[in-house]
Amino acid sequence: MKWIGVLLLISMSTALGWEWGRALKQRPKHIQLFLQSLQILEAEMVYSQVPLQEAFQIIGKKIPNPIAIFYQEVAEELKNQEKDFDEIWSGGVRKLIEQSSLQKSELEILIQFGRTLGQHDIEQQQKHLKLTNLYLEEQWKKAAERFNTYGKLSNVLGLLCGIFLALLFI
Amino acid sequence: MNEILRLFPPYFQDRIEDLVSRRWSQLQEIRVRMHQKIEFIFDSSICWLDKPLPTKKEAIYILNQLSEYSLYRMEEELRNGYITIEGGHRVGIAGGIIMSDRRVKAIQPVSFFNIRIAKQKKGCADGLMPYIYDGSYHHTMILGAPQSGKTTVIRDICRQIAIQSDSNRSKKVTIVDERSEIAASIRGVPQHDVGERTDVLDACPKAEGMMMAIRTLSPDILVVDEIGAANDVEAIIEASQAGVKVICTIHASDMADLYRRPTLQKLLDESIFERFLLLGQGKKIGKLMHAFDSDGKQINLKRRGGGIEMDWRTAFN
Repeated sequence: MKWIGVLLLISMSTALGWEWGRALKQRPKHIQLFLQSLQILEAEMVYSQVPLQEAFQIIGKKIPNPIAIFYQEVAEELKNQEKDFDEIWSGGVRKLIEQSSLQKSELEILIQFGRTLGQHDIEQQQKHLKLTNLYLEEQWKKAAERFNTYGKLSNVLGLLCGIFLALLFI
Repeated sequence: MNEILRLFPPYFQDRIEDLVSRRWSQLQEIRVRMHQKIEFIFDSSICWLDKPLPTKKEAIYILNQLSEYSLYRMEEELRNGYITIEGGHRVGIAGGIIMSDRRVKAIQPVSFFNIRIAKQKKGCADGLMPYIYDGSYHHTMILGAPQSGKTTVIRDICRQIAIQSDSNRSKKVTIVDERSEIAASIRGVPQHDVGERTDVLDACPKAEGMMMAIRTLSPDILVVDEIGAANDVEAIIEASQAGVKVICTIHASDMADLYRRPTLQKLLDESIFERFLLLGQGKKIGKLMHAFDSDGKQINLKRRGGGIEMDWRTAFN
């Protein structure tokens, strides 16, 4: 009986450690994807001058998940046009944060960005895009750093924590 | 009327529908002003929507609906002060003006909207067609005071000329639509029925557009709205020399107004236009008051019998 408990404890904490490591690894990737999507968005806005909904659909096809789903969903919601853009966007961003490895710090940046989308002329819009790019890049650097320091450690750390706890209980 | 209702937030839509109910066909304008009652102008009456009053939030909502949440696409429209929406309706906007290099750069924030409901009156030019065509087309100038329906009439003329038909009345038409009023194009696609054989140069300066059309589109008939500038006149003379018939409108309440305009002098001296059709004001759009030929002599087809009018209709419909 005791040994089963010990085994469970160790495998649990190992899994948690893995999960943590995965999130650490995914976060810079997801931020990078979002940065890419902003680049496409800028091109669609400035050169093709398509409406946002169409631009989102285009991005949804070009960028891999989970960012693609976010854009597709927002584009879909924009069709029924009863809500404010701001609401639709921030609702989408919240969902994205849940489903991806993006974190609270990104949430604020993206919601702020949503408030400016489609409300200004091209020059202003480009400035806001640049600003959002800068913020996200900063987050990306931080996330990459965190991954470098804790990434490899996390897997082992989970296992070790499990063993340590097991020893304590025995 | 969905394309108009959708501009308003949902909690306005029901009230507007209640107020207008069956009078959509009489509605001419809806005027939205921040913190003022929304004004509805019908053919013969005016109504106000007492509650709720539009605020900044609603103004932004309307603007977002107009631009499909994409104001960055509206640069040109914000500069010109009007936006064409589906169905050919036009929304005039006003508010704070932003200047740059002594020119209007944009209107922002927008706090006044004038939603002008477009109505295409098919057949409103029936009375004019016999003057424009009697075996061949004539250079025609349509005169009228503001609100006399010049644009509506010229749109119907386009439609009737460019209708698909084997008869030689059907011709290729090019519209140079500088203010996007005749065809009311969105992204280059006309929202009004301007005939199957019509090409439209949308938002194109008249003088340049006329030359472009002659060079590349080989029209039989060239249609332009509201001429007046000196280079328009040059272009019309050029077009007439190229064998293209020109039909245009001009702001003038009678023939004397025309002779008073110095820019048109050359046009009148060379007596290019063979028909001057003066529209009357009143409820009926396209009511012809007088018709003149190139020498300024009045012509009247009615005396020759109403048969011509009938003939025209049967040939086309």
